[in-house]
Amino acid sequence: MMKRAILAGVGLVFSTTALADTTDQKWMTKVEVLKQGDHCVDDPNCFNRYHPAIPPVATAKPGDMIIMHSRDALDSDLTLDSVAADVTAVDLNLVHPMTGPVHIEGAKRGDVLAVTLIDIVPDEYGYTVIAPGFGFLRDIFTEPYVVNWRLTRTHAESDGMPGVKVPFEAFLGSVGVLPGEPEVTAWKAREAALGAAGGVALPPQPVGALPTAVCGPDGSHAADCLRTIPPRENGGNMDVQQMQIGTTMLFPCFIDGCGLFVGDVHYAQGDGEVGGTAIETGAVVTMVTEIRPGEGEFVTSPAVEGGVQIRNMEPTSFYQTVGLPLKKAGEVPPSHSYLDAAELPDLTNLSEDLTLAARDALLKMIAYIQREHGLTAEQAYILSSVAVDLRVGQVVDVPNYVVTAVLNEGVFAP
Amino acid sequence: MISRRLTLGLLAAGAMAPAAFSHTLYPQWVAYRRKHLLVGCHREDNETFRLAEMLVDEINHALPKAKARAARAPRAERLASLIGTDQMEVAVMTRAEAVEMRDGAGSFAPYGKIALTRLADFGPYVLAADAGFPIRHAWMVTTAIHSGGVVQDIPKAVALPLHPGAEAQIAGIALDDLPEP
Repeated sequence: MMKRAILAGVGLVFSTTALADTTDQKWMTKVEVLKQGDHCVDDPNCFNRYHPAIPPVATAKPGDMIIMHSRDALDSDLTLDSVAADVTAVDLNLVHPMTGPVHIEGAKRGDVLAVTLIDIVPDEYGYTVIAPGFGFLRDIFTEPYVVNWRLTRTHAESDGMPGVKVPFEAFLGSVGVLPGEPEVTAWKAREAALGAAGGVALPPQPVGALPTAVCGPDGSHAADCLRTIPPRENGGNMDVQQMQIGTTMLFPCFIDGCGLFVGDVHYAQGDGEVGGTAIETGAVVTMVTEIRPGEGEFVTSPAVEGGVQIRNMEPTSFYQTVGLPLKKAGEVPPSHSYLDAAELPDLTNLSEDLTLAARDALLKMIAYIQREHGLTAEQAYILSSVAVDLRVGQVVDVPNYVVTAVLNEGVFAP
Repeated sequence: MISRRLTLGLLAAGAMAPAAFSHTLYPQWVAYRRKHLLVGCHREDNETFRLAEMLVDEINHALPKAKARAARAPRAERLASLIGTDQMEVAVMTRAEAVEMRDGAGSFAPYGKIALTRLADFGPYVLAADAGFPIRHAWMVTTAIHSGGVVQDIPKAVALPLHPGAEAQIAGIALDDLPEP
């Protein structure tokens, strides 16, 4: 009799536990922005240009969990069995599909929006490509190439990169807030001036622009919708890998509600993203926001607050090349080709030139990876894009500023 | 074997794509599409990819300076987008797709009518070319793929017209007798 009573009591305890299952307990207010359709053009929650007239697709309060379902950078149709011929047919007018914008209640122009990245759940597939004409060494790697990655929450692997496991260090390649009218005007003007000087500047392009009603060929602001390629004071395509889960990104708010957007998730990327792409993937991104009233006066472009994230990303073993601003006689790297300097081709040493030092460090790293790890030049370039960090050594020892390239040797661990 | 004159002629064919800077993002990307003769195809019908790769081999064998490359779009509609915005001039597709693309019909309606012709036939497939593809280039490409023996008989009486360059090649008109670009 006693035994039966005890069992019943245990059963009661279990029953009580079931009623209090943690899964049933909720406290978050969630605002979820889903993907709809196969591509950005099919999706009312997606856009690929920046302008304050782009209407918000959701509203969230500070402190709400904002869950955004994002698309890959190219809005692509690439798959696990894609080949180089698929890269050639990519339509680059479609970059970058962004999810949002989300109106943050109470935020005003002049405030700072603090965005804490809570989580990134990547898709199962990601890719890294060499797109002809794009990338830091676009004069050397001129043919299309693709590496297709299988992704988990621990690492990425690929048949196209044998013996390599790239650790999961995801971040938002593009994140930011919409510009205001004054910013659109100012940024258009300065980029037009740069383009007129021969620099790489991307004027508004209505073909393929979304939302069509605002940015398309017949859109209300077709001539003013900014491209998503250059990062600007509103954030956007910053490609800064230290913006890891747990960090807080600060953005000056240019319109009431700010217009928060995300996209272009990078599963992993080296500092520099030298090949032009990281491990590109779609993802589910969770963030929470806070408004810092009036701080836009001081935070005039994005900044980041972080903790151990930056340390946790460091490799446990590495190989480092040291780059100097040296080049061959007659060589004019594409980064310098817009400068009208007659002396440039014949010089073999440029002064205080970090870009050339970075190129030198990277070329040495690619040679090292080929020599020591047996990868092809294209594989080494791709690996450098996802697992090699370009770092500034010094900017004082004239004329030879130093940029180093740091390979995380851990990617070759079995 | 194609004559030296023809091979030299491909110096021009190496720059086959017309200026399309207004349609694409990177000038360098345009440069790539100018440097290479892109032969389009699409993944929804992978036979088009097989044919495109075969044609690329034949073209590069006969006309190495064309630097031909297969470009596999995810679907036929992307080919319409690329051809319709001057980013591509030549593609393999079914004859039915080519006719619909030309008419801007069915799933190609968003891209409008595209002046499409054909250079060669492969059973139900065609090597289609934008009507603006230069006559001499069309003549040379048609000659190249004929010399490789991959082209089947080219029927004249189908809905899609032959490109004038292909028509001239079939008629035995010499390259020198064609108008300069």
